[in-house]
Order: sequence, then C-alpha cells, then structure tokens
Amino acid sequence: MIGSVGSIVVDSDQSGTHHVEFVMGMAVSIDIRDPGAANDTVAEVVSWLHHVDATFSTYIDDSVISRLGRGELDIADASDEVRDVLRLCEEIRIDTDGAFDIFEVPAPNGTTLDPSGLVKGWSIELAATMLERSGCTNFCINAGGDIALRGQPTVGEPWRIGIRHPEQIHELATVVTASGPLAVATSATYERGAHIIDPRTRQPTTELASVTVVGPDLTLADAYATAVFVMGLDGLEWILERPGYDAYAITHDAITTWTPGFERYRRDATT
Amino acid sequence: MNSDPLLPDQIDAELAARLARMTARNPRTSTGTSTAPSTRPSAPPSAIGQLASSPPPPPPPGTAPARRKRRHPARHSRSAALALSFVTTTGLAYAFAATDSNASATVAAPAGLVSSSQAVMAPTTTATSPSASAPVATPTSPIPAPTTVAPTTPAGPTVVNGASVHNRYGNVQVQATFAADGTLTNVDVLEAPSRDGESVQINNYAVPRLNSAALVAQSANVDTVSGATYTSMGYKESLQSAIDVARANSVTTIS
Repeated sequence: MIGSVGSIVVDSDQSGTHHVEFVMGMAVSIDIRDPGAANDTVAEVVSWLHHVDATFSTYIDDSVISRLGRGELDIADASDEVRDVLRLCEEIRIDTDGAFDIFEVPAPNGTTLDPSGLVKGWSIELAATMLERSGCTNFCINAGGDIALRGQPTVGEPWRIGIRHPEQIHELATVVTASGPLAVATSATYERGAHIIDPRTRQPTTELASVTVVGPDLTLADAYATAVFVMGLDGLEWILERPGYDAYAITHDAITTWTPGFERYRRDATT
Repeated sequence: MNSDPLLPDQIDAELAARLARMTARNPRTSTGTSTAPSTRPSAPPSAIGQLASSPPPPPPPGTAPARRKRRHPARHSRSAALALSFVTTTGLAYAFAATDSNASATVAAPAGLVSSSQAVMAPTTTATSPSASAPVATPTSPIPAPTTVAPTTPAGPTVVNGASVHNRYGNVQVQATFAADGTLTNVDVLEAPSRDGESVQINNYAVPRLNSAALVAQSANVDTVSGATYTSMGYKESLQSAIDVARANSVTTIS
C-alpha cells in the first residue's frame, strides 16, 4: 500500500490508498483498502476538508462562522451549507435539552459561537459519502479520533478501533470491533487543565473522563459524544433512547459503563 | 423526550434570535444581527441525521483556505514515499497494549447499563513518569520536513521523520525508528514548541507520556484509535505521520 502525507497524493496500488492531511487543526487519515488508484477521489475529499476549515473554523478570523459570531454577517446571508449546519446544531440542542449548545461556550475567536462539536463529524461523514460515491467500499477516515468506517480492512476481517484510555493514555480502554458502515466518536479530557464546559451551567464538567459514541452517522455521533460527556452517566440512559447509537463511558474514578448494545462491538483485544 | 420539534422556519427564527442575543452580549461586537427570521428560500428541512446523506457540495474552486499558512510538508512527499518503499515490506505492527482480561468484573448498572470498575485493558508496561527525562530536542533550528533517513539495507532499522506540524503552540517534529519487523522502537523529538508555559507541559509531560503510548507492547493489532485530541496535538500528529508513512498493511492512528 502506498501512502502519502500532506496535500499531495503520491500514488495508490492494488492494496489501497492511504493519505494523511493536516487540516482543521489536526491530522485526518484517509485509509482506503480498495485496490486501484483513488487519487482524484482523495484529492476531492482533501479539497472538501479545506473548504470546511475555511468556512467553519473558529481559529480563522474571517471564516464565515467567525464573522457570524461577531455579528458581521447575518444568518440570512450565509450559505445554505452554513445554515443547514446551524439548523442541525439547533435541532440537537433541543434534543439534548441544551447539553449540546453551540452558543454558550467560549470559542477560540473570542465569540461564543462554536459549532466545532458537530462540524468535524459532519464533514467526515460527508467525506465518507464522497468516497462511497466514487466507488470506494472499504475505508476508514480518522479525524483526530472521530472515525467513519466502511466495509472491512481485509476480506472477512472487521475493523478494530482502539479506544484510548483517558487516564492511562498509554493504554487502551477497550477495542471496538465492527464492519462498516459505522461511526465512532470520542469526547474526553486527557491532559491536566483540559476541560469541557457544560453549556447549561458554563462550568467544567466533572463526572466523565471519556465517552465514546458509536452509531450509523458520524455527524450525530460526534455531537452526541459531546452531549453525553456533558450529561455524565445520565447521558448513557439518554443514548438508550437513540436507536442505533450506543455509548461507552469512563468516569474520573475509573468506573466504566456502557449501554447493552455496545456489547456487540466490545472485543477482547487479543482475539 | 424534550420539546416538540420545531418547524424549519421556527429553527431559523430561533437561530437568528440566538445569534442576535449572543452578539449583543459580546462586548467585542459592534452591531447585532437582525432577529427577523430569514426570508430567503431555504433548503428543504433536514431531519436530524439526514444532512449527512446528501452529497456534499463540491467546494468551489479557489476556496481552499489561504488564511492561515499551515506548513504542508507534502512537497517532500516524494521522499516520504521513498521511506515507505523501505518499510512496506516489513509489515508495521504498531499497536497499543490491549487485552481485555481485566474487564471481567462487570456488574449490572441501573437502567440496563453495564458497569465495570476495571477500566483498563491489561496494562503491560509501566508508564513513563511524566518527570522522566524525555528525548526532547532543544527547539533551535527548524528542520525541513518531512525528510527521510532510510537504512541502506531493508533488513535494518528504518528511521522516518514525521511531518513538521505547526499548531498554535509552535512546530513539532518527531523521528520514529522502526525495527526490521516493523515494530516501533523509538521516538525522538526533533523539534518542539518553546513557548514559555507550553514548553513545560509539552516537553516534560506530554511527550514522555505519548512516547510511552507509542512504545507500549504492540500486540493489539488495532486498525485505528479513537480518542479526543491533546492540546499538544502537534506531537502526535507528527508521530502519526511517521507511522502512516511507515505503515504497510496495518495502520495505527494516534488519536
């Protein structure tokens, strides 16, 4: 398998194509296991991700989101794409009773408009759709730990996704084993000083150290992971009412809890 | 379980109102936005989750972000590919320690949830102490990236430099060494951020711990790893790039 790093796709061969792009402040790994050249497809996805970054980044002062947040741009004048994303965020805010709220947490650009908790998953889900439409059937896109899977890495073998342990970061908490399509998203606080703000109280959350949400759609899995992290253990019961979605959570006192449906993904890592 | 779903127009109105409230309370903001709902023709209402099923609009040409120059080391990807040619035959089997034997003490939790007090999968190595001396290079001269030091024989160890990753803390670049069998045997930091407070955290804390993560027993054979990002993100991105370059049939992503 041929791989590449950066904005140029080197090549691909019979074993697949692999590309790492530094975009949206992280490394996005595109791992296609289908044989044959996929350079144009990867280039299209890479272009899409840079477009998302330029539009939605809260680190870029003249992104659409930054301008919206400062009141320099009216929502009515934003693109359909931006309004669709913000609508979706608002729907999820209602669905989560405010545990997911893009208006209540300070953003890096100094505003309090930050849809990043959904945009990453949304953009990767769409990237996966782009690959599928180009004929790719077996691939894994990992954007800073938020993962969209399709098919299998090799025929008859499921994907194996290590879930990083939040406190002992040299270890895995568990391994998710599944064939695609599947989305895996994790929200966690790993480093000293890191925290996630509860938009309802504007105080740091305290109960969970890590939560992983699996389900069919990375857009929702990403936002749900953020929401469940804020909800704490109550969030796992909330997830029970979301068909197709399951969660695996670790508290700061090292209690691990998961929804019954998560059992089907959970595997002994040695097998 | 919550309030009834809003109609699309109500969503738009609510969005506009919340934007206006936010910008009004933000002292950095000069003017608020209109609270009137949009009168523009809007896209069909998207039920939750449906958005992802529609094809993404292709980004218009020329919209690639030029606003913040992130260093894209891919200009040197030819050398990265060269490195890859040395290691694709080795079958990189980098992975994290992972056996699940400790998870046996599961107990029934309320509401049908399953809990376990044994959260860690079979730790096999001692964690590197955060205060342990780290192989941190003094951030003096920036190093072009990615450059590759390839062994003269495929049987020997392979050294791959990760991309020099620029983040808000500075530039980070690591060098990973792989044994002939593809095992990741060492990680050196070629370049690290030097900003006052951050350097302490990244050099004395994050790097040793992440080195430990990279070098822990490699039997788990995972394809990828899910986890939230670190603040010292550049390090693992750089390491990930080195691993990605060196990968063969099995990829492990640091996340």
